[in-house]
Amino acid sequence: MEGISKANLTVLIFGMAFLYIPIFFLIFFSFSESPIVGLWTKFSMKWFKAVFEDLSLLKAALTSIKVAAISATAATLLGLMTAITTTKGEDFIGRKFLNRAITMPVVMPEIIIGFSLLMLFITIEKTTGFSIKDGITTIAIGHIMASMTYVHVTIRARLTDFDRRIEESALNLGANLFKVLIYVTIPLISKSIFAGWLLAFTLSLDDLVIASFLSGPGATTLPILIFSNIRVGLTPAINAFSTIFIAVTVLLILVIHFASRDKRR
Amino acid sequence: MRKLLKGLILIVVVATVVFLDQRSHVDDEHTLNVYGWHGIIPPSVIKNFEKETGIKVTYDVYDNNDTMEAKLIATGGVHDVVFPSFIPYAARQSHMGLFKKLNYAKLPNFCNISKSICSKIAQSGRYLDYLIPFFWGTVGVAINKEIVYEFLPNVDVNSYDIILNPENLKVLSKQGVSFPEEFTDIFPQVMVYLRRDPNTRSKENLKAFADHFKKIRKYITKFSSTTIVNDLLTENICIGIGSSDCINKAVIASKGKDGKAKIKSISLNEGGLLWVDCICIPKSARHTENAYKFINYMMRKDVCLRITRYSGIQIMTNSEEEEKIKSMIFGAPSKNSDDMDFDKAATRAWTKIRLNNFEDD
Repeated sequence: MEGISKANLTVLIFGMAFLYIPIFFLIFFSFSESPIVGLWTKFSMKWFKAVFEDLSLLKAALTSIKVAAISATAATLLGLMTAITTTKGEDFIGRKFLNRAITMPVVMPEIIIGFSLLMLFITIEKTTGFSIKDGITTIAIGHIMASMTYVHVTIRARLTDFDRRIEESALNLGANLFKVLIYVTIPLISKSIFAGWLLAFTLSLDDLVIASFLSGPGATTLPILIFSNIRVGLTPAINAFSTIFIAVTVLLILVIHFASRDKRR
Repeated sequence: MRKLLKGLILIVVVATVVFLDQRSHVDDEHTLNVYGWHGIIPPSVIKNFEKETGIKVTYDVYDNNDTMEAKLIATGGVHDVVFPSFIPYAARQSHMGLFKKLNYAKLPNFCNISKSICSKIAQSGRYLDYLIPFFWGTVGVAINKEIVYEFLPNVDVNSYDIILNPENLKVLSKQGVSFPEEFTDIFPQVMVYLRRDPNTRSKENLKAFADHFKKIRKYITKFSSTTIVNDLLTENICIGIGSSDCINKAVIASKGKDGKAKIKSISLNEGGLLWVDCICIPKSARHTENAYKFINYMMRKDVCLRITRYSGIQIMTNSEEEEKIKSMIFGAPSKNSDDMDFDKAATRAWTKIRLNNFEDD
């Protein structure tokens, strides 16, 4: 604490308060008995019970996590490929074009991605008779399209300030290009790959617009479900559910933190 | 290094398995795909239907009528049962030919549905061929009694006068006034207040509507259909227009220890605005027979009661309510392309009103 001046400490406290006070209120009101969100009457756990009685929230969360895991993994694989191609493939003619084209989805509104993909799936179904009946797949494809760019940018940033001599040494020592990629390049950029995966995962978990266009039967993601509640008004069950979600996340972070600390020793 | 690679491969494998596992029974004979709002139909009602019929129900939700409409137009409907609002959505959609014609022989429980609502809908066209009016309620006015009586002790609260008269609004404005977000939730009442026909969708009526809002817009503090409960309870507003199920929630929640509610739902002499959400079967539904079974089950008396108890949204009516519904205001849906022009003009006018921008007309 000695190194922190009073001014810095104030800024720190305000910054933390700005980030965490809303979450604190959300958790606080999940223990209220009142059926109205944000009204305190008395302490009660009934909304936690409600979450486990009506399983739709948990189901939707599971669907969201599935979609996010699938799309993040696929987007990371694709993003890794494009990042490597655009930084290292010097004799690849379309390199510069690909690098610019790949960032298109960032400036494209989500609603356009969602609707254009919906039109694409319908056209495919009409012309070839082949239809993707599974709603999760269609949402995942949309999310891959939207999040691949972010993975690409994250990994590419790491690749551009990367010491190429390490790779050259490996080549000099007799490794072929594939081995260099697997044993030298990817391990060195693994942190950015992981960061890209997490980013894609978060983006997918958050998305409402693309998912609501592409969801088919049996695929309701958490954001769609929560927004659908507006018709009858939100209930504190959403607060209770968020509290559970936050608790699980915090627990995971703590586990990871302690696990990695032990390793360093 | 190998570890990382192995980890990556593991993730891919797990993801694939999870994804394959999802290809559940969305398309065999004993399934039904329903598309509706979340929180209205209790899960136990769906479970009971599955138990009685052996049909597996997949219940998907949408977050607004517009997304549902876009998907219905684009795909022809991947679901077997949908619940659109009648005005303007279901009415427009039945003109577009997006629904299957209903076979009432398969729906004996239709007798439980309100006759007055059906006759109101039938007056504006042959809609009942394609849809069944199911959920209903009114768009009413709610007040915070203490505040409104303090500022307007002599006002007649049982009339639209209290919220549409500029003089009254001027007084209440500082305590907060909330109007609905949707044009269709406010246009008919204003027409009745101005002694015009709420079912005439003419330019003159729209002009009168906009002119009236020119007088009252500056006193409206909020346009929201979803936050009225919280706003009333936290005294952000003292008067607001909103759906009856929301208002009832606010009334119940405002009851103090003495059992007296601070918030009151006004019974309007001119009649509240009736809203209706329908049940329809989309044109390209794959499980029509199951859809009929489901709709018939939903109209059963005990099922309706369970839904109302769970969500507060009404379905069945008693004879007293039938009488009330007859005197309620009911807007007219659009019928032809001229009417679509009215919809466009109305949307434009309403947006201008909400943005408080009356300059260029």
